[in-house]
Amino acid sequence: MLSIGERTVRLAISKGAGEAEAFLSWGAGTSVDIEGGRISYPSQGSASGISIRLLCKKRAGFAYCTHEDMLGNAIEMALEISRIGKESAFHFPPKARYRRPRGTFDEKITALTPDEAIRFSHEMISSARSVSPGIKVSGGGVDFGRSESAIVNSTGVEIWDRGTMISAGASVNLKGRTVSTGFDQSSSRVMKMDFGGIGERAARMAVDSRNPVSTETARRAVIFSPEAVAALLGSVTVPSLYGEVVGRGQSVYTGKLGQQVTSPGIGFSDDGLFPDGLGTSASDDEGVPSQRTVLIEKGVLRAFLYDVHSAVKMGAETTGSAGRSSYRVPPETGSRNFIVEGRLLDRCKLISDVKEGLLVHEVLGAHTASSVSGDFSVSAPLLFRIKDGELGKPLKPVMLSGNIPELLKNVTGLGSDRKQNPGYGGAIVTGSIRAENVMVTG
Amino acid sequence: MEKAVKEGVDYCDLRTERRHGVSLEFKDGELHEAIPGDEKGLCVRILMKGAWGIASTNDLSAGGIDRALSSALRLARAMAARQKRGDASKLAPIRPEKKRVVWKTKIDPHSISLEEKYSYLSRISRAVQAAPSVRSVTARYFDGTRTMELLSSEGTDVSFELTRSLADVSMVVKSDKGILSNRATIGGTAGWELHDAEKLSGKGVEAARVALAMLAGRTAPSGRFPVVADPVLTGVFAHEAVGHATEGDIIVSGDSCLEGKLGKRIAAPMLSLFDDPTIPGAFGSFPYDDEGLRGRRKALIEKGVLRNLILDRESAARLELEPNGGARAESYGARPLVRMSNTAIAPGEFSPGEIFEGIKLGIYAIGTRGGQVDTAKGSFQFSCREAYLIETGEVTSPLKGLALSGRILETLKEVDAIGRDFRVEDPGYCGKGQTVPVGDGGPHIRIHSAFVGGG
Repeated sequence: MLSIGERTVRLAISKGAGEAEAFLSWGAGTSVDIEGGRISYPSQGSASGISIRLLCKKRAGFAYCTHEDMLGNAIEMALEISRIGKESAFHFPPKARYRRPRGTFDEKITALTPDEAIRFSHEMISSARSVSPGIKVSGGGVDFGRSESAIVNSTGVEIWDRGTMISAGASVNLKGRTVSTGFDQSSSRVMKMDFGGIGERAARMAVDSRNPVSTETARRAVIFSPEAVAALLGSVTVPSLYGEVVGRGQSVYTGKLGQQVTSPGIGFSDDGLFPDGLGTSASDDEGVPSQRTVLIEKGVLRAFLYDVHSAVKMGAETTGSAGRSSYRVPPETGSRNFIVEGRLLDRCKLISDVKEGLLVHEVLGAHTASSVSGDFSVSAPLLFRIKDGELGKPLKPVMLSGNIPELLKNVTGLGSDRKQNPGYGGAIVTGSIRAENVMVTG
Repeated sequence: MEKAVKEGVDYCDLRTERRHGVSLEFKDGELHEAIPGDEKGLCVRILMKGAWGIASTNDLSAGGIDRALSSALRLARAMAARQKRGDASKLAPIRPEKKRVVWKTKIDPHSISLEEKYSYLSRISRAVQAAPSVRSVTARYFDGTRTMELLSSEGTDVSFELTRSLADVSMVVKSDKGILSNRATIGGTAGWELHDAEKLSGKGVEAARVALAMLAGRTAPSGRFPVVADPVLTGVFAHEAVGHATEGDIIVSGDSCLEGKLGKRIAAPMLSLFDDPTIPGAFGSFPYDDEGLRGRRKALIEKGVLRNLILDRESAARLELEPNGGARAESYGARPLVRMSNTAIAPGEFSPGEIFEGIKLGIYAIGTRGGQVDTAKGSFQFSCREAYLIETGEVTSPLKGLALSGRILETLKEVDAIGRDFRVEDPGYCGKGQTVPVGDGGPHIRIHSAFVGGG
């Protein structure tokens, strides 16, 4: 891959580019779906591509193709695009040294067969059904794969990396007087999965949330599950910490560096080298070595995330946060492993401190929240009452609304039930979070 | 195909796709990104002894196709060996078609230079940036021609070519009340003829004005209120609250609150709702689905009664219904799933005045930022772009951060007025593991009592 990359960069320079970069990626994966209690649709897919970025007379151009023999055309296209662009001070990052992360490639995953994917799915289903015979695993599945990437540029970057990943999930329903549902999901870079556990947790959630009762409209303490936290932070907080967004005045954190912006009990960092992290790799997607960036420390805003392009624009330094969702697009700022930090409490302790509140497992509509204002208004379809420190009855769906930055100021507890929640180019690593005074509409 | 048939498959199809076009993004007055795309790939589906095997690749050499076929066969065999009898997949029978369709654009976007597309976005960007209190502007454009070819072991030989394009301008406005973003979009299954800088600039400037008005608004109340939804919000309601629950695969999985309700009254008698891929120029339209069935209008709800579902061949077989062309795949790398196309509530009898009168205290909700649904529990949520209080039939104060949620089956019965107007031009994307372009719309509708939450 590196040699194709080198040839690509040389070809681009020979065709008139001042600087050039080749990003190559290859991936192959296998997946099996569960639908209506049945295992089906075993699929295998593979795709590879080469993308080119170049600078011609300080103007940027981009193109991609899927085979080496189409490179000439792609480079011509990128050069044509560079002619309509504006001059900028952007340069590709320089040669660097990389730390090889641990736990991102597992031979055991590359050796998995479709038969095993089917067997793992069976495990999830039988485990769910053993909790209660009425449980139906209506959706979910298993998927695993491997990927390789290489980045070569004309300023000396040359890095090749590879990784594996496996994910499994189950959503279940239980029909009784009302329909109750449950879900659980797990993802890992290495073969360290508990399929039975996934099925069991999903089924327990459905069993425990039968026959929900109504609740009134009020402001309450809410404990958000790791999945609900990831949905809200991923849509609102993560993008509001991207340097370019901040610099363009589109973030609530614009102009607030050094200030107390959340409760002192919570902090965030983004770590491209987090052990076994879903977003972990030796470098970012333009060859800048991965690093850990502390964004909010004990409530004080310390830093933002940048890739080279946004760093140049905003007069900052890259934090190794260039991400590409595929070879089809140029890099943009993206968090890798976004980690919620602070003193962690057992979830039982989080619950036992609540006099009157809710435990929310899932939120619908987090993606409709505004990352600009931080305002959100979501539906919570799976939740339980907490009264006098004890988990109580399941509740009928409510609406939760408010403003995420404000909610973060009212965080009074972080759970030790940490998990990696996939999304947005990597993971949001968090446990449950308890916040006070959340508007609940029942 | 011959090779697959020799291996003794029950069914095999080969779908080849090519997508090419360009996308451009302008941020704060300068070209941020220009991405030319041209990609081809294929997906092989094999059904053997009632078990599926699916493989995809973008290596279209003879070797690449062969490897994909071998993968699919291997997967199907592994699946068949472990499958329980009752679980076998079947496909509802169809009459295989041989057809070539080209949906031509009036102005082929591939004939328009990059410079011209650049200057389109540049003009829109400048116009919106000049509007009051606008802090930053992002303008995007994309066009893409999709060529799909499907061959099957039953003799289907269908190919089509269509072009979609979309432009949108989003802006952030800032006042002493805070910051808020909004956007305006133009798009459809159409070419450059859709794109007029004046038109989108105008919509963009209006969107900026609306955002400023919303910032100055009071926080939306929380509770139950009569709600009048504009056509865009009506469309999202049709899509989220009904569309997903009528998808055949969701019904078969036991994950839909509409299971077993065909032929039953599920909505107010005045309400009819359909899904239609034949609407000319609408963003979600297509001539054939990704199993080679001709796209056709499906009357999902007719006068309050659930009449049809959206089906692919497999869900049609399981539910013992006629397949109706609802299978769509995001790309060559994905298998077709049951998806919506253009989903809308049919126009009714009420004039605009009649819809608002009689509301002592209610909400007028306009546009959407998107939504989500839990089809099993039958609950939905979606947020709107713009909202106002209705007091004694008059539209009054702006309200910010409004979202609606509710129970599908309750809310459908609460619709008590449907307008005579109708629009389905608004492009959108639907995610369900795979993202596909969709359209939605309808008239203004009034919901007697809906659950509303403020930001």
